[in-house]
Amino acid sequence: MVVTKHEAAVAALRSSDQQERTRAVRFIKNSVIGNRTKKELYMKMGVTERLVKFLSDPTSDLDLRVQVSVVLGSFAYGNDQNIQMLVEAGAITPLLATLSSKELKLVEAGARALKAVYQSAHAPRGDVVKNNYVQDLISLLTPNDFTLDKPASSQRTVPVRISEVAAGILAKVSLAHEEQMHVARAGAIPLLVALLDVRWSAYPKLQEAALDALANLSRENPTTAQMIVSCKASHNFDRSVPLILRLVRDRRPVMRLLAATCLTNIYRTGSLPLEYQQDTILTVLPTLIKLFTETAPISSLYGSGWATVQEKAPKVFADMVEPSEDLQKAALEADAISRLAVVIIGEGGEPPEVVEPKVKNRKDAKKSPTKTAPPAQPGATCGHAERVKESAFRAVAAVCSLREECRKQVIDAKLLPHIVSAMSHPNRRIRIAACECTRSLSRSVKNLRTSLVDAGVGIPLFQLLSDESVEVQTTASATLCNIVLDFSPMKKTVLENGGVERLVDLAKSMDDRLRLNAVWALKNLLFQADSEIKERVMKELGWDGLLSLINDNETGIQEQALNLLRNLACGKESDIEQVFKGLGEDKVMDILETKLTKPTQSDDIILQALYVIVNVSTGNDRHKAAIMNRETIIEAILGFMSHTKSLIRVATIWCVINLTWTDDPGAQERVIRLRELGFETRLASMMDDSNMDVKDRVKTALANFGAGSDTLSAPMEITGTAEGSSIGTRRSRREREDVVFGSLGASGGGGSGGRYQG
Amino acid sequence: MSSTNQNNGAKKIIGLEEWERKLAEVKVSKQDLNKLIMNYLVIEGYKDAAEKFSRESGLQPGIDLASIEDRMNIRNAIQSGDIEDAIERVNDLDPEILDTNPKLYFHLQQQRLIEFIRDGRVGEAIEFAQEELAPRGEENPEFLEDLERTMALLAFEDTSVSPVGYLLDHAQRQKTASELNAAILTAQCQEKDPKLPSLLKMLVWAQNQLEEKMLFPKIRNLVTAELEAPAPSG
Repeated sequence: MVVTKHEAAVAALRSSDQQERTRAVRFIKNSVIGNRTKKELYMKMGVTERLVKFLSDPTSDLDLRVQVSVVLGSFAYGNDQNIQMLVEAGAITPLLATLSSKELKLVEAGARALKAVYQSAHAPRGDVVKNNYVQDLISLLTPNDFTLDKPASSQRTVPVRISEVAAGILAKVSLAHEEQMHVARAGAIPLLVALLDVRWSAYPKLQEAALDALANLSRENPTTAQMIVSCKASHNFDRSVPLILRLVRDRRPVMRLLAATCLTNIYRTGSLPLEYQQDTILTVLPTLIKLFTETAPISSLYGSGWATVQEKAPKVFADMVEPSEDLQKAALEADAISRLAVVIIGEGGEPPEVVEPKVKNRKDAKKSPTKTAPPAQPGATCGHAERVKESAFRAVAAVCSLREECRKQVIDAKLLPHIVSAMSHPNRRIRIAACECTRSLSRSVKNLRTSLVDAGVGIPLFQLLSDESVEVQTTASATLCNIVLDFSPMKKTVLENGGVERLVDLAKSMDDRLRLNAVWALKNLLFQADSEIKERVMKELGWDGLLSLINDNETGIQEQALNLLRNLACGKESDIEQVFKGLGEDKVMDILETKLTKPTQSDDIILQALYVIVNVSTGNDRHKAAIMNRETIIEAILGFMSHTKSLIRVATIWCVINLTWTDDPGAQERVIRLRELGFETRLASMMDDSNMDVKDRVKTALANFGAGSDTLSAPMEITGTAEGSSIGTRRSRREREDVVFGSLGASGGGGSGGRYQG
Repeated sequence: MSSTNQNNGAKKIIGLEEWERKLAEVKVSKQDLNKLIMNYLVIEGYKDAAEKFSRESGLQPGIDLASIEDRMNIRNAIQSGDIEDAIERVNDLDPEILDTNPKLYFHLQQQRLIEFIRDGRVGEAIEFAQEELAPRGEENPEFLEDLERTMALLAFEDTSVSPVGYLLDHAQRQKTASELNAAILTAQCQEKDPKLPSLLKMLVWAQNQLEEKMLFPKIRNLVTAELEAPAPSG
């Protein structure tokens, strides 16, 4: 047999007889549905182009076009590669054109095919937004609910299943901001909200598709979120939020997940009205936590591998709690962490899976019931188990990002060994998620000193700095920022394992985030460091390297680089001397001048530049003179004394205090000079500053100007009120105070720095 | 039913009259009853009856009635061994069902293989198993066992003595038909089972529970729903 039945079918496509062609397409359809091997076989035989031609040909009869659409849709259910081939064969445009057909059979087949195509994140979505296709989809969102007495009007009555597919497509094409705006402006939102009404509760998949669309439309978009919130389901004036809240309590797990996702996304944009916030949190949070162990499949993702509720729920939970301390506390009280531990560790509290087979054998020998996550759905692949794990680690990282008690609970739940082991997982996304957990945990000084060290987090974290994935490197370098802080015993591990060299490499990376994190980490490494470490870092980085970071395109990087310079100049007189030698005295002053006089300078940069001056002016007579001789800098300081931000005002006054310190040689001349420039008058006007800190410093500064013998003792007083008894010199006292403000906290993340209790 | 009684020694007895009076107090809406019946007709596939009932009761069936007929035709096709026809029909009804249910698709193909073997078309059976079923087993190793079991049918001349002979029973077709039927219902957002049988089961269970505590007029025949007066305690 030379000609197989499949070859015969392909040959019949060339027949001039429409009916024979249609028969052939039907045969192909029934061969490829459910059958991956056959999909590939036919695609390899090149039928796609021919089928697309039939679809685009206006003379093709209806049944042929319907059958062709079904076949193309079935091809798309294979994998991303098939979808790519469909795109290349030009299938998308004629499929989109079916949406406006008068023949609902064709609309249905075409829409289903498009839904399958857009399930792939790689499918180009540009075409949908163009032309009137979004409008066509929206016109399909008003279904007919099978009343036997059809309305007398001649309007086409759309079956519910087509509305469901249309909403499903809108969900997949409303991802980017412009897409969200386009779909919203075309009027989709009120129609989608209307589908959430109880009237449609007999069609849960329709409601799920609508929720999916609304969730994607409102993701990180306050405008569309606001449109959803202020929208009413038309016929009984129910507001959208109570409708969605009702669905969070639905019987179907997928419905609960999607409704919770929708509210989470709206909540994150800040558009959720106050009156609903309490209700939302009380409903959504426990619902999501319960879904951590829910294995129901999410239908819209059937085609491209299995997805279950369990994979998604922890991610939505992470989105919800990540920015809010209160929600993290609520999550803790709702037992979220121990439930996540069950997902990651399993019921029995197994030791972490280790890559070495030896350990595995030992585990088998013990015959312990290796019960990890609840049984997966039939057909679930190992990819599924990994996605569950990744998602659970994400949730752990989010829930303990801000509160010490949550971090404690994570440690108590014995998750740390699993986190450390997952940092070397072959799956990149799991490595990132695990690393994020470490990062959240490292925001606690207590953890830095104990648990993280005990769990041996240093070395695996350090290896991740050279990970093949830039994303992993980014997260790892962000975590390292906290690890290299002075009080962390792991600082030594980093230094001994070539950490400086690696961080300097990353500081020269093309990736903005990597550069930022690396400079941040180096800066922290140099915080209160001895001269030896400073020398080592500068030997690697080079003064030119530092200079180019100070002039980076990213202001965040400039800020960190200036902070690094400030840490370099902190400490002994010789440290300042090194900076003057390294960069050149004039260059240092040029940098400061540029940073302080640039018209629309960011406050963060101004602050760091001022503290470089603070530190330089603790130096010797020559160092101080360098600053005094630059009139622009002195004038800038004077100007910033009336800045709206108290932090900046405090910094300016420290400059003045150090320049006028009475014991230092040449102090008298500098006092006279500054007085001439109007500093004393300005200081006097600040004695009633609204900020206590500013007020206190002003007193000291005025004392340096010798305003009266009674205030001369002021500096002593300040030293006396210093928060750390171990801090001796006034120089380090100043530095410590602001470095705690400046360098802790996650780079790129929230301002958790203030939480440290060192 | 809120008859609360203390469990003090002998069982309390409720007579027919009192019982009927209590039952009369329970309100059941006509609308709910109609919905239960419609639900039964739709899920069990009585398309014409559903259509007539809908017209007479004014109740919407909540589903495209034509799809009931499709579903019944598909079930009949499998029960008569024409799996290919069933597959074509289900693909016409909703092409996503088989593309998104690998297990169901495998079971249908397995049934096709069984039908080849039943008809004694050994050569075709082997060819079909190689071309269609083996790749599915490669994709999902969990299917391999079923595949091997089915192939074992070929090993016995007389299938009645084969340990896997049960695969040729009508019950196997029934099983495949039910699985497909359930998948179609799920795709149409319908329940897999009608609600009426569950209610009757609940009735039987509740009566048994109550019987442990008291004697009351019991329904023993579900068809007549006749209340049988409690026998004096013995």
